[in-house]
Amino acid sequence: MAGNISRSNDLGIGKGLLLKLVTYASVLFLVSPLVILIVLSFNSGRTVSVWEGFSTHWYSVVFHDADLWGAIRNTFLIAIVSTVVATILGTMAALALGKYKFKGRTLVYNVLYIPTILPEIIFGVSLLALFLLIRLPLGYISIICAHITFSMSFVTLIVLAKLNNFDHRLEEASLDLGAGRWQTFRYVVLPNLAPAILSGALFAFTLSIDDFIVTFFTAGATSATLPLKIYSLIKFGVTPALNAVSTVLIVFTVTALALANAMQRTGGISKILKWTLAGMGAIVLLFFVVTFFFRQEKKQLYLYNYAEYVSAELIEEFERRYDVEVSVNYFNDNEELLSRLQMGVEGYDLIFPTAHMVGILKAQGLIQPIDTSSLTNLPQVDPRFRRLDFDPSGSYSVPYAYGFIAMVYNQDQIKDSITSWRALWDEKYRSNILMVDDMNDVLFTGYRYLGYEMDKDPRKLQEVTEALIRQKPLLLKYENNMTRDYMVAGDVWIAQTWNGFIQQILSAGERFKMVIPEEGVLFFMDNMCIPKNAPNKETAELFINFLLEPRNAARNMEIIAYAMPVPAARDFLPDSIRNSQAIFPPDNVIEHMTLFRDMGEFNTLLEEAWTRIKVR
Amino acid sequence: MLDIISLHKSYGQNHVVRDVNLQIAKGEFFCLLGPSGCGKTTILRMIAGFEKATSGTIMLDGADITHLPPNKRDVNTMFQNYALFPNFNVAENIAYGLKMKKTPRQEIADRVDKVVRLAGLSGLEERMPAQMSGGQQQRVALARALINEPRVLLLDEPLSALDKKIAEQTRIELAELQRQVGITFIFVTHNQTEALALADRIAIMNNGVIEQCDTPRNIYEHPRTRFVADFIGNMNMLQGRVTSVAQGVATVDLEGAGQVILSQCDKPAAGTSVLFCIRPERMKLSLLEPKGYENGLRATVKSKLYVGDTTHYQVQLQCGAMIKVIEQNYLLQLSNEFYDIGEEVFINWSQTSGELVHV
Repeated sequence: MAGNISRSNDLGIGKGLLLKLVTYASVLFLVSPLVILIVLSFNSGRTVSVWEGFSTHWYSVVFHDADLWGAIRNTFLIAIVSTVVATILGTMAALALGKYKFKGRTLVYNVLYIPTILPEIIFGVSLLALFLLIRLPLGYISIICAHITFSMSFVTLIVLAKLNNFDHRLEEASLDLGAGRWQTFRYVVLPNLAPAILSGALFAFTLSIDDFIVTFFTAGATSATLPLKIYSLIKFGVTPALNAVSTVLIVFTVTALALANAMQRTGGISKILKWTLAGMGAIVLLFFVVTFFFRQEKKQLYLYNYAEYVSAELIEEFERRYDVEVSVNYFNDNEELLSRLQMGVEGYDLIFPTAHMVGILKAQGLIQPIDTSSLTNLPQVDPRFRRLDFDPSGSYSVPYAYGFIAMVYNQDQIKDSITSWRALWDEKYRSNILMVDDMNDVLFTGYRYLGYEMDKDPRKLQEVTEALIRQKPLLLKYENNMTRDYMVAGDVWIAQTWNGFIQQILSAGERFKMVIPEEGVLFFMDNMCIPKNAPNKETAELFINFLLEPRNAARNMEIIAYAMPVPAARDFLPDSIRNSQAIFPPDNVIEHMTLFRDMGEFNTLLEEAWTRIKVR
Repeated sequence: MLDIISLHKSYGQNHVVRDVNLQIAKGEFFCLLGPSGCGKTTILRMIAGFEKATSGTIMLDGADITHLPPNKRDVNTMFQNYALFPNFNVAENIAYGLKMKKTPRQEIADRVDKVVRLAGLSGLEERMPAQMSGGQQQRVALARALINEPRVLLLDEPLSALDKKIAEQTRIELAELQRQVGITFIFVTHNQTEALALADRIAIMNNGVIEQCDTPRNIYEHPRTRFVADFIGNMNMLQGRVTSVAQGVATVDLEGAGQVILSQCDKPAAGTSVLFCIRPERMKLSLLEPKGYENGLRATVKSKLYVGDTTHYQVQLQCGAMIKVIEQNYLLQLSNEFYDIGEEVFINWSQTSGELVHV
């Protein structure tokens, strides 16, 4: 009895119940998001939050998504090459630092710490500056160089830590027994450093696979990695396809780790290292050999666009018809597009900026005139969308698609007939209203609510700001991508959103009704432009012309759910789309359309106002 | 065999080995003995090739090996902590040297087998070093060095990491082994018992200098310097001056303690200052005056320490100097001669005992 008590309570410090509970809770908190993600990857519905039944649909979507596979291939290729090189260089650096005294050793040692403590974003920006300076084209090589730069530090520090604990008498013993320097390294030093080298390599590999920030700055037009891809897809909501990709990655990582662990336990760590490095090397070699022999001497076309904003099928058809290989990279908003071009990232042939951004790009000399004479389908374009004030000559841009922001509401929940933006200020709908999380659209709504045009008068802006601050308690939130989920679930009665989303919501049930407010709506119009120094200008023009072909435009519209200003295309559309006012607003709306303009200096004030509203 | 000529090693202003000259014969079991920091390990490392000699020459069988790298010398080392390769098992550790020399596979297997048996490691070939006791590791280290049949085997404190009991056992085995293989052993230790027990010859080092190089018996019986006298075993030392030397007998006047006569020692010239040295077990306490062939000094018992086989007395001479006397308890029991603290006694010893060291 006494023995039992003293056994469980030797030092009188209790059973550590609290500590154990906290540990369990922390682990649960750590693991639960992953479990949820894995479970939801088998969700048959499109939404992320609502379970609609088991399905492996999203896995097949992922497996058939060539772009995604491309990104995965890029990610692994970059990770493997940078891991192999960083591991070798890092180990060599560790050996130099650990075994020899030389000039500047302390300096080198301290410099090695920089990537581990420097904010990644600074690292990314400085690497970009360097690459642009030495005219290293942004692409695989630049990303790999960048990844090697930071992961090498980690490898060096890990190996160095092991080396400092290494018994140097083992080296003496080896030399003493007749081994040469290389044999000593091969048979004694390397096997004993192997665990550290392996964990350094694993670290480098994970860092590379994971990395977003540095990759973002150093990636070129053709080398998007999975993190970049996922980030650009998020614009369109987190689809279960992303969950499926993530699940595959999780399974891959866990399996690899478990395998490494098992091999480690059965001994022969140097064997693992050998096989891992050899395997990685073989894959890289194979890749290079394959790409070398199967390198297609095809024409190339690099699009830089929003995700899912051109029909993939149509692109495939274009590839077939003209024997071209098309690659698509994604940006999230106009500002990202602008900054990439300003950074000097080259390689894009065709970009899809919004109207006001065309003006900015033109003014900065970042786009070049399009050879409109080669566009036989240009006359198909609705003239009301051509030669607008951002491009009066119409030579720098061809309209691609347009949309507008309006409202949608649930007639089961709101019995009144709604016609005005004022509904968003209605106390009756408190906490059941959504607005978009977009500065221009929200401020525009404020202006129109007060009956103003959006001009550069600070006093009006002040009033608008106050009106929006007053409105904010009525909102559930500002939301861009999940509006459909909220509406369909009945959590929100009325929402301001873009017409493409409205079309989706309308198709979810008769109870939803669109409103084009009487005060007018804000249009956006995306255009096709060709950046200066585009490597394949003619192919880009070919593609523009291809998209403007009415039959193709119709097929494209079915996918992107936004209207293209190609009137002849409507004849090829199914009735559900052709007659949808959510996609094709009535003519009188188009004739009075307001396009967002670049406000120049006044933008600063708009941004301040938007910040004031958001922080309330 | 191995000749070390004017060997010198310094790190900047710090001279760790100074003008060392040694000649070691083939098959000899040679020991470098000294306190830590005396330079003995540095000499060993220079023979092995891990340290560069500042000046001097090391010759092996007539060939100058001073500047050869370690892997080009026909010399192997057994390291203090054994330095077994943790990534190899016992057999692989032992085979390492042969493998590096590209010995045929079958020959390696045969020789490993032989050495494993010689070292008493049969059945442990597959073990990893971390799974073995200190004694076993020591055998592996020895086997790993011996399999190469070097001309000289260097042993750096080979027994210091072992328990006392195992170290004593291993000491016997080591001596036996050396006789069997007939390889020249040079071994470094700070443990004089080991050195005395194992070595054919011992070089005693202090401050980078060899103080005395001789057989264990001569080192013990006839120390040539104050350091050696003090370092090896227990020694009573008294300052004195030679008053006369006649007919092979030296008379020494100990400062304030009286005169002693030495019949067997180096006989320095009369008048030289010397240190009179005598081992505690050579003296005995007695109530009787010294006999004609004995020296005797009056003293008072100050302390007494019973340690099983012997009793250690501390006695004080009339001049104040303390002397240690070790008596065999067995003999004391036979004669029933026990002395108490405070008792006035004679310390007596034969005139053939004792040694004079130049100051």
